[in-house]
Amino acid sequence: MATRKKVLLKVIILGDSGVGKTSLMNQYVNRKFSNQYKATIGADFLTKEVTVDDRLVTMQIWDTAGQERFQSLGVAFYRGADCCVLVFDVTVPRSFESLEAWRDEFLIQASPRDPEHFPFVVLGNKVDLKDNRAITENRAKSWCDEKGNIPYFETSAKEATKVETAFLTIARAALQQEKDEDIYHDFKDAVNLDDVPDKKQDGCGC
Amino acid sequence: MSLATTATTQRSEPLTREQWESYFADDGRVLNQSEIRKRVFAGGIDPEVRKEVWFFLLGVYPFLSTTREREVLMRTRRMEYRAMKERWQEEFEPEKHDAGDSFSAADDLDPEDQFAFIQAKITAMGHQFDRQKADSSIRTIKKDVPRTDRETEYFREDDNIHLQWLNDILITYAVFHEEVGYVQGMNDVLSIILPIIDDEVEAYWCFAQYLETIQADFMATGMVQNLRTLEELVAIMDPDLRRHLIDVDAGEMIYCHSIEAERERSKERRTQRQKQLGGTELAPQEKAEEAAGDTFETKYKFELFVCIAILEEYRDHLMACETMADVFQFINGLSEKMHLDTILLRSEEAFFRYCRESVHSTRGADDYLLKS
Repeated sequence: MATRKKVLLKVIILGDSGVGKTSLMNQYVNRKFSNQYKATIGADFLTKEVTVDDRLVTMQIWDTAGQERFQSLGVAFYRGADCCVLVFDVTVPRSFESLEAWRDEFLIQASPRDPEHFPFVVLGNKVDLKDNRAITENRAKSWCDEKGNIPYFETSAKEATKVETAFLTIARAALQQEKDEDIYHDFKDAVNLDDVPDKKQDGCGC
Repeated sequence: MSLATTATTQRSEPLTREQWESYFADDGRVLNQSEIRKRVFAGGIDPEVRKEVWFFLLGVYPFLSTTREREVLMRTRRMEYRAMKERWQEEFEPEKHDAGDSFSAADDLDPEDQFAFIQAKITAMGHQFDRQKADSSIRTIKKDVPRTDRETEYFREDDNIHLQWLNDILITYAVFHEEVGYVQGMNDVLSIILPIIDDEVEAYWCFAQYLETIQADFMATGMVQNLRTLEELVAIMDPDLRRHLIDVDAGEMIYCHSIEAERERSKERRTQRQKQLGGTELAPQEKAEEAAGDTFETKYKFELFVCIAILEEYRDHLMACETMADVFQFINGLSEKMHLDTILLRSEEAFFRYCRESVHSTRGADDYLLKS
């Protein structure tokens, strides 16, 4: 059997304040739920070892601050991400409308090599609050389709609904992305390309 | 110029009620402000007298006000708060608060307060809200209030009055200070003040006055400035550590924002947190100014030296970190481990070391210190 290097998959969770980013991460990694997680300031991450298609990988899941003001602190931890998870709260239309901005922000800051094909996954969280639902599954899905068939899951961090399934898809997408990057780098080294145009952004507002 | 003041090696005893009262003149003025600040800086405040001292340290009462002046001031402040709160409630929660004839509410007031209330009401009514900013602040406050310090006795029960105060104070501040608004973390500042003051109006004014001092830390430019200054300080005080952090792609110091935030959110015993707020937040500027003359730039905040002290304390661990993620994980995991008194002493020590080095060396960033 060929020796494979240990794979570390970096996943970034983004979305408005209070949509459940910390809760989703904790439900997935620790199988715990609390409705009193403090607002995330700055960033934090948890890791989890998972098997994806017979391959053992370590997922490093970054939980970020949802309040816009903290964007100014810089987003060094976006660099090298393998998948970006966009979360909204199905009971808060505004959080759904923000998805576009979060996606753009990520693409600008992380500047992946191939932004068109960078993997995103969208989670519509808090589906347990059935009576307050404001964004239908169809509406969310059609947005995801428009943005290049982004996989969409309806989750409840509280009741652990679809959390496991969603993160498996996230892991798979991240692993694929990681492989693509590897191939690209091998190729790049082989033909000894000099500078690949680097999309350095200047609009970070600081 | 010689810096006569040097760091102490041991925290001293907290300021007691007896000592506190000895500072008052017959008419109620507090005469030796700088000595009080030094004392609090060195040892904190006895919980028994903390509330009274905070009114002065946080800036609600001027040290040189008389007892009578403070009475009048607080009465006026009560009317102002009430008028502001009524104003936003009518604007943003009209269903809950029937506007009716706003001025008629003044009828139940003591005649001495009526005039103050009507004046406050006119001022509050003249305030034009920025609807979008206000909505956004209120939305975030509503998210944060139910998850603020709920593990503590004071905020534990659902729907308790303290949570309501938290909500109302934060909204009042945010919608009347739109340039700052509400920023996550403000709830943590207030949740330290509220149990000590234990009165909605008084706590509002303590909070609002204190924010005057730390407002910049909640603004985008201020947050970035703090981190850049910290980078600069680490570069001067520990170039090897700085180089290592850059090597592991952690040179931007973002994780230190959590340290700064952590000073409000620490999971240590509440008294410790309060000691921290009372002991370091309020006095150091004074001490810094005293040490360096009035040319001292305010960007070198004492909190940054607290960060330096922490980075130094855990230097070996940080040098062993191989990736930015390691650094984040290590720093984020620190909050429960740190020994506050030690860190405070080390911070003070780091501050004076920096002052000395800056004065005696010709390295870059020292020109701020001595303009003449």
